[in-house]
Amino acid sequence: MSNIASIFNPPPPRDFSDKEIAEQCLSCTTIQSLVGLIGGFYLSTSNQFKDKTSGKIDFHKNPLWWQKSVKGLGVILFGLGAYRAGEVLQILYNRKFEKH
Amino acid sequence: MSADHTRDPCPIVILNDFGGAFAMGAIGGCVWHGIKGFRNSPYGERGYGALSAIKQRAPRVGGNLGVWGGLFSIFDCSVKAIRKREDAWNAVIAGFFTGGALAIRGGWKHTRNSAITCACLLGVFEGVGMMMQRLQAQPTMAPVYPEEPQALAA
Repeated sequence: MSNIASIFNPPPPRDFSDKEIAEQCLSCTTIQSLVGLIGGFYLSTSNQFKDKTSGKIDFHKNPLWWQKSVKGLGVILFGLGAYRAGEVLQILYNRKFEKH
Repeated sequence: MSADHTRDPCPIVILNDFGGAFAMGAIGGCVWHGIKGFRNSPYGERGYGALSAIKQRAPRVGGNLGVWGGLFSIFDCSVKAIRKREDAWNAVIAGFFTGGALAIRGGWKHTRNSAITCACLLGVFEGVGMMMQRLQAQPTMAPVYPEEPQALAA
């Protein structure tokens, strides 16, 4: 079911079963890895703090602690993306190994 | 992420949500900006004004809502994968991150306010959805019979 549709018609709360957790979804892991890598890279640069026209950073709007926090989050997200990319490779390797 | 067989895997759900939100935004934008363009145009040019406003602004509304839907779906899937649980908190957390991510260029105050507002709004939607579900699924009351009189001891 759509994630947006489930806002208005929420499914009953449940924990995922062990089978669901053990089954590895290659496409989902790949997407999460890409989102982590791209989002992490974007957040770890200072582009999002710069003004679009002047290219300068407004330190009142974006104080230093905020910039460092966002950049730190970006690095963590990038790391998560890299970890998930490793999992993607692991899934692919396992599938190849199991087939042959 | 979850491998629930009762629904599509997450990448397909994300695409589905992005497209659905874009369509909703585009249709809503057509209605809204069509009426607005119609009313703001002079007599004789109202049809053209409505069409012009729709062509200019409806795709933008659709795009904005599509980005919101896609981001929300990405965060929802990620939160589900991390928490390994499906409940109302997923949408609230995903809404918090979506609101924050969309407002990140506006500075820390804007990001904070947008994230909290979006999370609260989704919390309200979830609450109303659950309430409606409960109202619709009222348990059928069993008829109450009077107790049978106990037999007197001989």
